[in-house]
Amino acid sequence: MAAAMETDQFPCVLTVQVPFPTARLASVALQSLQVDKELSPLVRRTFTISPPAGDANTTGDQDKTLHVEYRATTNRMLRVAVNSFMESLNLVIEVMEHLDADVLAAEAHST
Amino acid sequence: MAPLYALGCEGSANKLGIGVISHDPTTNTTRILSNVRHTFNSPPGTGFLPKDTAAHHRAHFVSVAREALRAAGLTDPARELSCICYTRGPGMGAPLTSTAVAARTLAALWGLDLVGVNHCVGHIEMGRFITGAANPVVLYVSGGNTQVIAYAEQRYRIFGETLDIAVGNCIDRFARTLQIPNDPFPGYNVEQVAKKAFYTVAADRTTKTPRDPVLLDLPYAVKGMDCSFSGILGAADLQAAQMQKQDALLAAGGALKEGEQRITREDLCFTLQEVVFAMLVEITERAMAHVGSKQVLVVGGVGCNERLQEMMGLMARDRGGSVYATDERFCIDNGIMIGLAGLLAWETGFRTPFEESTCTQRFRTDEVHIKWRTD
Amino acid sequence: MATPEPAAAIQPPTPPADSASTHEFPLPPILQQPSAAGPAELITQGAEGRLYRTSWLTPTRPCALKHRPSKPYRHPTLDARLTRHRILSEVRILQKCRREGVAVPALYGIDESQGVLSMEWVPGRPVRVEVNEFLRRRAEKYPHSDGGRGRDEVARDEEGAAPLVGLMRRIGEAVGKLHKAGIVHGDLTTSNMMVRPWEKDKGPVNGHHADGQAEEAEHSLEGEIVVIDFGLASQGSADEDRAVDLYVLERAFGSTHPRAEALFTVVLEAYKDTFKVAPVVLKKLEDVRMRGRKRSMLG
Repeated sequence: MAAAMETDQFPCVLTVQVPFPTARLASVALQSLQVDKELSPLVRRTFTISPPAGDANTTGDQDKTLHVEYRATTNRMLRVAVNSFMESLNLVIEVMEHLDADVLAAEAHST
Repeated sequence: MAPLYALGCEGSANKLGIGVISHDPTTNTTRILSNVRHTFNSPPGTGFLPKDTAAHHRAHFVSVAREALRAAGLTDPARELSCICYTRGPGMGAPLTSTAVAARTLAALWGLDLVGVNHCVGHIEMGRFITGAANPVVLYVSGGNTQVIAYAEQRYRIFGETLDIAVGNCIDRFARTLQIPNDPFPGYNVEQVAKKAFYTVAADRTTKTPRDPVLLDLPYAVKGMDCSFSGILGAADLQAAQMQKQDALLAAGGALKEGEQRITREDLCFTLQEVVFAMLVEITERAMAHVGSKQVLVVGGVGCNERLQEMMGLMARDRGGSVYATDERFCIDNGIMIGLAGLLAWETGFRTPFEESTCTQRFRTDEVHIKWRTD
Repeated sequence: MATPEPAAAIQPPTPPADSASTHEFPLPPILQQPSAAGPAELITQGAEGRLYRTSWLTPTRPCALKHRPSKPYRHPTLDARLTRHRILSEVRILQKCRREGVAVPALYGIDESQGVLSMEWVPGRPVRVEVNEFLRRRAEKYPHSDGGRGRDEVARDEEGAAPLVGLMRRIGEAVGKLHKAGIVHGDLTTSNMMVRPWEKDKGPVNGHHADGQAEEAEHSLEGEIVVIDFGLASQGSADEDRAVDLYVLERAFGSTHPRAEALFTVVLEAYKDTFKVAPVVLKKLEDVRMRGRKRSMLG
């Protein structure tokens, strides 16, 4: 019933799946991104980590895909919210790529 | 006990600052290992908008952070650092959040504690460390804040503050009125224009003749230990409009009215500084008289202004005390001030759990429990 | 923990040397004349000026002489404008207060070109000193185990708090009376209010004021509130200005006497009963406070 209401009021939905190379990185992204509240009351958002969709029983793999579902009252609100999320996600991935401990260690060795 | 190290990340306004600082709790010695900053400057006549500023911080976070680590000689921050400190507020929402997202990622990647820091407390602790002023009255002046602060019983208590806009905001907005550039920062450029009020340059640009700057008519607004700047900005803008009328009139071959004062950019900048700084010195002196202190510490971006430092020095000398100020490396927003205040809090057991590591645009200086001071 | 190699050290600038701790000021010209009665003693150096204790007409009549020296940091034009404006305004306001029956020092003489004002000497001590001593004695009497973390705030109904509550009430009444007279002080702090001991056979002497308890009475917070230092005062009856006056006092009180902060409501309650529009001012005070909280936002 509540779910039906949700779909009613927030008809515009977008799900983003972000695969990470390891479960650790997926969890880091989740921790960094889910803290800040969605500012608009016209947007709802959920974060989960699970295996990639449709891929659940392939390898017994760890959960390393970040699933983000955005629901909004209008497409415009949806676009604004998802754009902002993508900007933050991009920053998180860039930080992982250049500042993770193993990256820094490898660089320290090579110089 | 070995010294502790912290990384500080500041992004509450248009500066992204990241630095590494160390503090030895046994000997209470502090050392700066690196202090890297990248500033977002908008074109002359415009202010920096939250959205563009946040984009700037995101674009430069990685390179600034890597430079801060490199300059500090850190190669294994996960083991070398104690905590990651970030600015929790006050400031502009979007830039604060963009910096906090990156700080959280670092803490999660390196398995370190997060410490959310009050920006103003960062300025105060940095100023105290750099100058060695133990318990001064603090004038905190920047683009977003104007406060007179004194410490009592583990709080930095606000004795006086602006009743409307911050003094730095007043100066920055007046710089926009006159189309004065924002690079390196508008207040600095206003200061340089004001210095030119002390001489005239001959038409062939070869000789300078000294002159007395003209103090134009601007209101003076002090209420006890509080003051207000919006009326002054309005009056200064009107004078600037009058100056432009005079410019147009003279360019068209006209003449000023009998006895009309010719307004110049130089005298305008000079007057604005003289008036607003006199107000700041006055409220600071009032707070010093009230709490019986002889030391004054000036922090925040406007604190680098040499004329303000000079005026404050004259006042302090009259009271048998002295002024403590720092230069642009430390008084303009930077990462190490956040690192220092965060590390001091961390040493007393303070942590910011991940799920609570949000930012807040409003965060008053006196909300923070200064557990590390016991005087 | 591994110790990283230090980067090139960043040298902090050298802190300035403190000027001589015993600082001597030149006396204002009026006190340098041989005819000046009695020695002048520097009492305080406020932000506005220096207060001397000297005598007026006869050596036994003490007088407060306030000198506003020119401020070397201020542009001379601005300095002259402010000094003259403030001293004349202070004189007008003191006179108005006397007429309206507000307890302020009596005016003896003025020389605005020299920046000198002489007034009646108000006996007693500033509220700030009285309150702090009261709090100190209380802390000695009921020592707290947590080493004074600031938690031991005075509660209004607590045993022994009555003198302080009474003082707070008199402060509220004094400010109300001032506002009623059409004066806004502009710099209300506990340093700018004196507690003038009740005179013998005069004023509502309280029960405690028995002769054998002179020591006790001296520190009992008893006395009339005399508001001083009208250097930033103005005439007016705008609710906004009155509310800012209260807000300035509220914050000064909170930051100067954090342990008695909770008692500030007594000041406001007493204020409320002093004149007709006082409740309106208190409503306005809430707006002013809200603005204050918003102010920590970026400008």
